[in-house]
Amino acid sequence: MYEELQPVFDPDSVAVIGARRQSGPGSFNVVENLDEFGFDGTIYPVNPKADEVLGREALDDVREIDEPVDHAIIFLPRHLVGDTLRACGESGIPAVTIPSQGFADAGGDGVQMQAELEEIADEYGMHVVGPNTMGVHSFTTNFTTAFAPIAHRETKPIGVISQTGLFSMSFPGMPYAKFIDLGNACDLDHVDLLQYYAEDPEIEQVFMHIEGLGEGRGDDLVDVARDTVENGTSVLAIKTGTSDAGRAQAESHTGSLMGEDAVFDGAFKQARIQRVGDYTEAEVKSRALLELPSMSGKQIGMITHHGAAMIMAMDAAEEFGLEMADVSEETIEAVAELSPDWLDVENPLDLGPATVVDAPAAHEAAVEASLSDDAVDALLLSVHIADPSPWPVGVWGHIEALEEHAPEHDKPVIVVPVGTEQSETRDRLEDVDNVLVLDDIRQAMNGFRTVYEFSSHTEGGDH
Amino acid sequence: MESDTLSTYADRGIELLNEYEARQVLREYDIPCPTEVFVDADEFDDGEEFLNHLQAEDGVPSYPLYLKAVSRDVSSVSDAGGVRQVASEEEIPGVVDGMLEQMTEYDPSAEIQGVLATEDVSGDARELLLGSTVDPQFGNVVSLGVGGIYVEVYGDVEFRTVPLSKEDAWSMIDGLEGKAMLEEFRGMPAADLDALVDVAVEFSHLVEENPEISEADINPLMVGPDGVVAADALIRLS
Repeated sequence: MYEELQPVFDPDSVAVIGARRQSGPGSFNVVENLDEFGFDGTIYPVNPKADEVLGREALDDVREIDEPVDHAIIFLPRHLVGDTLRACGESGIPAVTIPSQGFADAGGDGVQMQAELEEIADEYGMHVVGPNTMGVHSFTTNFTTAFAPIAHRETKPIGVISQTGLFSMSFPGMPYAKFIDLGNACDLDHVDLLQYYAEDPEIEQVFMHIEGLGEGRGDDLVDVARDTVENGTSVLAIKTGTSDAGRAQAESHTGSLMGEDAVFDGAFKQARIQRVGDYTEAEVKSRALLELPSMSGKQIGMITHHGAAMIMAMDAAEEFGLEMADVSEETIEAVAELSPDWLDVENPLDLGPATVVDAPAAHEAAVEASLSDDAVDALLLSVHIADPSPWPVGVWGHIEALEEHAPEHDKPVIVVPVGTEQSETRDRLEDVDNVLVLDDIRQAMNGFRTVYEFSSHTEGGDH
Repeated sequence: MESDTLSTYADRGIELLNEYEARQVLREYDIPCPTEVFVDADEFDDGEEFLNHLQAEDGVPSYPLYLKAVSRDVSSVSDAGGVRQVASEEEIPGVVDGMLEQMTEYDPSAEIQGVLATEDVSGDARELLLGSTVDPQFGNVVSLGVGGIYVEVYGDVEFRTVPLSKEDAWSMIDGLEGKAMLEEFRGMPAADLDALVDVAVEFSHLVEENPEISEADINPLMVGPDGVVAADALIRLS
C-alpha cells in the first residue's frame, strides 16, 4: 500500500483544478499554499477563465498537460466534479483529492453523486481522498492539498487519519508529520491509510480519529492494526459518536445490549489499538510510547517525599492494572543507610527523612538503586520542585541524579513535579533519554500501562 | 452452512430455533448442555400423558429436575411461566397442566412444540451470557456478560469480533466489572475459567462457520467449578 499511495502524500507533480487567480488571506489559493509550504515539484494550475496563476500558465483542461501528473486537486463546485474526475482518469492521474462539499455529507442527490465518483475512481483505478475534505498534509515532503494556509513546525513521527479537518494543522500535543482527512471516504478509508503508515519508514505512531467505518471494514481494521502493532508501530484512536443504532428490534439479549461504542471498545482491545478519551490522554499515551523505552513487566518503583503522593500512586497503579514493585534488599539498604532508624524503608521509597540529613546523597542513592533494581520495571518520581527550595540540595538537586543515571538504564522514568518549577523541569528533562515529565500521577500510571501493553504486544509477550 | 443440524432446521423454514433445537446445534460444537429429554407436543394432551411418555424414555435426569415448555413464538419462556422445578415424578402431571395453561394465557397464539425435562445445573454455578450478533461495521460480534436474566440491569458485557482467540476470550473475562464473582467467594470454589474460554472460542466458531446465524444467545450460561453448561439458548437464522 505504501508504493500505491505515494502519489497521495509525495507527488512529483500536481494539477490544481479550479486554481484561484487571487492570492493572500481569504483567497483559498491552493497553488499559493503549495508554494508557501515549500513544495518543490511541478504545479499545473487549471482554470479556463485565467491565463496565469501566480506566474504559471493556466491550462483550460487537465487533459492538456503533456507530462505525467501524480496528483490532482479538484477545487470546483460539486456539479463539475464528476466530469473532471473522469478527465483525471483519462489522463492517467493516480491520486485525486476532492475538497468539494455537497455529496454524502449533504444527503439527497449528493449520495448518488458520490456513488458516481466511486464508480469513476474504480473504473480508472484512481485513489480518491474525500470528497468533503481538507485532504492531506505531509510535513516531510512539503506537500499539501489545503485551501487554507499551512506553515511548517516541529514534527514527530506520527501519521494521522482523521474524519475531520479540525486537526489539520496539529492535534493538541501531537505535532504529526503526515495528516489525511478522509472526508466522506468514497474510496480511501482508515484501513488503507493504516496500511500505508505501517509501511512508512517516517512513521512510528498512527493516530486515528474515527466517527464510523464503512460496512464490514471494522474486521479489516482489527487485522491490519494487530499486524501494525506487532511490527512495532503504535496505534492510538479516539472514537466519537456513541449512538446505539441497531439496538431497537433485537430479539436476543446480546442484540439489545450491543451499543456501537462497546463494540469498538472490544475491537480496539483485540486490535491492540490504544483508545483515548480526550486530547490530554492522547498526548500522554503518544508521548509515553514515543519517548520511553519498553517495559518487560508491570512493577513500578517510586521515589517521593510525600505520603499523600504514595497513596495517589498506589490508587492509580491499581486502576491501570500495575503493581508497586517489591524492591530488592540492595535498594532498601541504599536508602535505609541514609535514613533515620525509625523509618521502615519500602517501595514507594520515602526520601523525606533522608533528604533532611543529606539530600544530594539520598537522591543519588535512591535513583541509582531503583534504576539498577531488576524488580523495578519503571520508575516514578513525584517530587517537590520549588523556588525557593526547602532542601539544602537546592531547587534542582532532586533531578540531577536523574539527568546523570536515567540515560544509563533502559527503563522508563516519569517525573511528576509539583511546586513552582513544573515547566522548567519539563525543559530541563526534555532531552534526557528514557525520561518523560507529566502533570499528574494518574497520567503517569496511564503512560506506564500504555508502554507495558505495547511492549507485551510487540515483543511476543503474553499477559 | 457448516452445521448439519442447522441445515435441517433451515430446510424446514425455521427462523427462530426453540431452546431444544438451539441446544442440539450447540452440542454439535461440543458446547456442554444439560442432560434432558424432549417430549413432542404431538405425543400428549395433558400432564398425565406427558408423564407416561417421559417414563418410557431413557436418560431422564435425576430429581429435582426442571420442566420447560418449548416454543419458538416466545423468546423468554420463563417470563411466560413455562419453567418449573419438580422434586418428584408425582408432581409432574399437575405442574405440566398448570404450566401449559399459564403459557396459553400469556400468549394464546403461541405454538408450543413440546416440553423438556432437563437437569438442574445451578449448583455452585454463576450465571453468564454468551451471545452473538451481526454488527454492520464489524460483522459477527461475540458478547460475554454477567448476570443471566439480570444482564440488561448490570450492563456488564464485553464484546469482541470474530474470530475469537483464546487470548481474546481471556481478555473479555478480564474486562468484566463483575469478574470477582468468578473467583472463589463465600465458600464457593472458583469457576472453571479454562472451560469458559474453550466454550467461548467454540461458540465463535459456530457463528463464524454458519453465517446464516443472525443472533444467538446462551443465557444463562452456567459457569461452575467443574465446567460450563448452556442452561438456555436461542438461535435466530436469517
